[in-house]
Amino acid sequence: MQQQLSHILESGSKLSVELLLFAGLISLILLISFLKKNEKARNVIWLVSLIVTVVSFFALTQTFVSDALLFNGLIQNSSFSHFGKSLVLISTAIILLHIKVMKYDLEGEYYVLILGIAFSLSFLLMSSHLLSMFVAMEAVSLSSYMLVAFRQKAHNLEAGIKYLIFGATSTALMLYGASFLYGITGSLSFAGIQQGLTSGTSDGNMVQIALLMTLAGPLFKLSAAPFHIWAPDVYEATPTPLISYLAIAPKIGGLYIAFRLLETVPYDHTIILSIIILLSILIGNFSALTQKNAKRMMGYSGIAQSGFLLVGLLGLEITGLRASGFYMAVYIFMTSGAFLLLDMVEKQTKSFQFSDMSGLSQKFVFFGIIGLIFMVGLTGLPPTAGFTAKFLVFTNVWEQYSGGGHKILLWVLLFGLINTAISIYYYFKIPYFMFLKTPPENKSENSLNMTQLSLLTILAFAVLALFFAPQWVQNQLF
Amino acid sequence: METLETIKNLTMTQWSFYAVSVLTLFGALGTILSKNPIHSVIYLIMTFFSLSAHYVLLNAQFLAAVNIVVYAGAIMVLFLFVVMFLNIKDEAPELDNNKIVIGASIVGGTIGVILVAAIRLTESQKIDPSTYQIKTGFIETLGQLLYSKYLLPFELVSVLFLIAMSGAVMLGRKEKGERNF
Amino acid sequence: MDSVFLIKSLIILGIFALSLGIAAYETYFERVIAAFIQDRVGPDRAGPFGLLQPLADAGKLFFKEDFIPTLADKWLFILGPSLAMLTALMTSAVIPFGDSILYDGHEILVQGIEVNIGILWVFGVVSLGVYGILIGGWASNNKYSLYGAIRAASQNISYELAMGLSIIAVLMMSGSLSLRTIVEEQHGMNWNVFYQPLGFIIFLTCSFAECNRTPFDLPESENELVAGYHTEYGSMKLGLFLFSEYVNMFISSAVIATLFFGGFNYPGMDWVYSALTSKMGEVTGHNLATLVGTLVFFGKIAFFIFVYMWVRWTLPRFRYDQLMDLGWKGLIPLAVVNMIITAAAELSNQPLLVNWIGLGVFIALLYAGSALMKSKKTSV
Repeated sequence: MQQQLSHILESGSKLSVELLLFAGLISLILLISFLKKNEKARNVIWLVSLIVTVVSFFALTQTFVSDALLFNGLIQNSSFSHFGKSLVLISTAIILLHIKVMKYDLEGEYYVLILGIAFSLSFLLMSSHLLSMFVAMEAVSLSSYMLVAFRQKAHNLEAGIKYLIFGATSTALMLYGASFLYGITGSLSFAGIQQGLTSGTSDGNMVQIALLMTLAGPLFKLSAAPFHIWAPDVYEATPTPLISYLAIAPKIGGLYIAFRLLETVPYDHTIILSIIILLSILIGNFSALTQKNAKRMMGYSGIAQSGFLLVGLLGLEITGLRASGFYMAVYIFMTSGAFLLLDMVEKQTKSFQFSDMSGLSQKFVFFGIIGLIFMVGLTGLPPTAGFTAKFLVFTNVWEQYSGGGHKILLWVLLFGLINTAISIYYYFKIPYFMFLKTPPENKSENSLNMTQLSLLTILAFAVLALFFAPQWVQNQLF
Repeated sequence: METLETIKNLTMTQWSFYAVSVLTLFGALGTILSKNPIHSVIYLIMTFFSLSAHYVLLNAQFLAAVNIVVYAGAIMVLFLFVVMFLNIKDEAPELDNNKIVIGASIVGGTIGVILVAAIRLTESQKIDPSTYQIKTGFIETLGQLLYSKYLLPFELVSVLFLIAMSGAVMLGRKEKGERNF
Repeated sequence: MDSVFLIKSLIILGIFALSLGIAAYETYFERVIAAFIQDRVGPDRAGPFGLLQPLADAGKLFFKEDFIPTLADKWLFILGPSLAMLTALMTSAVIPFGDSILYDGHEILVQGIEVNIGILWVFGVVSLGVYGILIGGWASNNKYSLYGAIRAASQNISYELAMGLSIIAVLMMSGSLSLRTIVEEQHGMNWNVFYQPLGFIIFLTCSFAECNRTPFDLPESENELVAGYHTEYGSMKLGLFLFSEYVNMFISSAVIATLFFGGFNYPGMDWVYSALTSKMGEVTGHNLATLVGTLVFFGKIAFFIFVYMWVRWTLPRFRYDQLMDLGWKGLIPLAVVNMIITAAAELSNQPLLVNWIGLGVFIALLYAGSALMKSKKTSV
């Protein structure tokens, strides 16, 4: 007993980032309870959450990474999780800035939920046990459902309910699969399951099915097929900064857990994973083609991008994982930038329809060019980091294939490339309308806000800089 | 004939297991098959009850009691409460849609068949009764586990509830000038 | 073994019969006490002092027309009162009505079943009690019935929380969920109520609410909802609903007596035990001592049943929002405070002293805080 207590205490001392985030959460709740409900108080709450995020980020850079298991094997602060956590904190900071520069006057509870997602994600990114994975994932899900439903307008609530129902279904599937994994191996920890599967004589089919069902949870977080159905509606209904957060942060956790689960079950996953990837890319891309609403289009493109993110996991080689990690880092900047762009466009035109964006860049040329950078990046063309990311993940596939991999890898490569070409069509719709269409008459003369533009420029700079100097991120990678 | 012999030789525990299982399945089927949502909820309560009986058979009385207190006693009451208020009885056109029902049954049936087939192929690990610890499901064992080995998830759950609670308070708050129910 | 089994069955049967009999005579005493409080005569026609009144009432209810409304959900309409009665009677299974009976070298507990989660069983069954009302009210297909049912549900859920929290403090003291252990911890005069005055008050209030008794009888408040959830009921179905309320009252009195007032313990019980065993022999003396304990327990139950009736005929009914305010904003925070005080007291070596000191400090803080708020308000 004494020994266990000291182990718990020692483990607790290694969770400085999480403890900081938790302290931030509590102080936010206290502030919300005791401050008056006016704009000044909300600004204070925003500032506190930003400070907590930044301080946690610096605390994270100071923490020592080790592969030792903490809390009796429940969590593990590996270098993967370290990288993932830094991405989560960066995206949290970006979103908080997005909220401020776009002058959203959100109630304090939004910040509690945003920090709550960051807090639970950092546990999700460390989990090495089905139990801690489940609890952390549920915390992320719950906060996300509420972020979606918060505005309390009919379409917000509708999107929230849809999100909740699909989320609950995928969680149920995940738990069912996890219980099978437990039943087969008699262990809940990833290491224990791996050991049980390698030493035991269990039937492969059952394990594969159980794994597939368990993957439902991370795939839902990634909005990858076949758990993508919620994405467009939720993307359309949720306020832009919040959906920008939900489009990036949970994906980090989902990708990590998908990797951990695939790694845990020592079988060849190439076919299953390839099918998931192909489905996500095809569904995402072809549905995005016909969209008229830019936010819905981002929803479908998010599905396709998840497919590309998963490409790096094929074969579970270290180069592939590094490629996926790099892709994730770039994806954060590209997506949050694209949503900020859309938000700024919406401020000008009061709509997310493509047709209403006509001729916007003829008025604001610089703004248009910056917008172009994000779209080029999302498509995956040089000179943006999107190209580097796609190049890295596809190199991984090619290496797998030429190293005697399964034939389906070639299809992944082929469809990946074709779909990159297809995605030009819908990503470039925004610049197309902004540059080439003539603006309608009698437009109101709004000028662009300089702080908004500078945040957008910084994000665009990151997307460009990572193309020329990818080692900035790659050196951080595990 | 052989099955008859097996039935004759069932022990008391096995009898109760099969009886409770039949009840559980009956409740679960009733939940998804009944047209009236209120009946569905009541069937679901019955399912929770029989699940609690299963827990008792596994010598986990604490889990059984908590299952009744929390699920059957609180959550399902709120469920029934909401369903009664909504009064969906008159307006459920989509539930009669045969296409959805057929599609859902096909998908569910396929998954079920795959699962059953896969489980039959797996060798099940038998638990040796002589080494089985009788205290496994007891509240003392559970408490000690929760406060030592599984302390972290236990505390994480409380954070989860905190977040959920602050969100729920926010969701439930009335906007100014909104209609008072 | 057979005779042991027989005695156990007899005990269970006895408990069952007693709960029904006591519930029946509660109706009589309710009317007598109401009459006394209102300075009337009360029932005096059926038998001497009107003692046969419950039988007369039951006979009347049985012979009335059994009526089911046309648009009611027939099966659920029947299920409602049955469930109410079933859950009311299930609770008594785990309550220790007495110590034990020695027979043939066996020690037989005067209790339906002894389980290690006794209090949770009570709690679970109580939380199910609302289904009878909820289902019955909905199945009647009547607006007033539905409102009564909905009120009952929300009221029960709200007060269950405070009730559970106040029980946790008791559990901290005894370290067990078994009701028998909780009773045995309170040997002699070492009753929990002296350690848990606040917990007792919270529990008592909540049990009023759980039984739907005045001042919390909003599910059937006649000036708003006709007769609430049983508006459409008649004959013995109505009888079962009303009867289940009285059974609930008996059971919750028993639970209060068990948790806070020492169950079958009474001061001087050791002396009585030794006197009886030395005079009548080991076995008979033990059994007689058990009987005395059981009688004391029933005395305590009778007192709490009297409190229920006393409150009913003295206090007016709450308004609905007041009821919710009291539950959520009053009792739950108080129960949490009580829990914290108890935890501190249990960690110290002087639980009794620290409990009272903690309570005193809390009341002083509350008083100072409210005085501060008041002075702030007046200065503004």
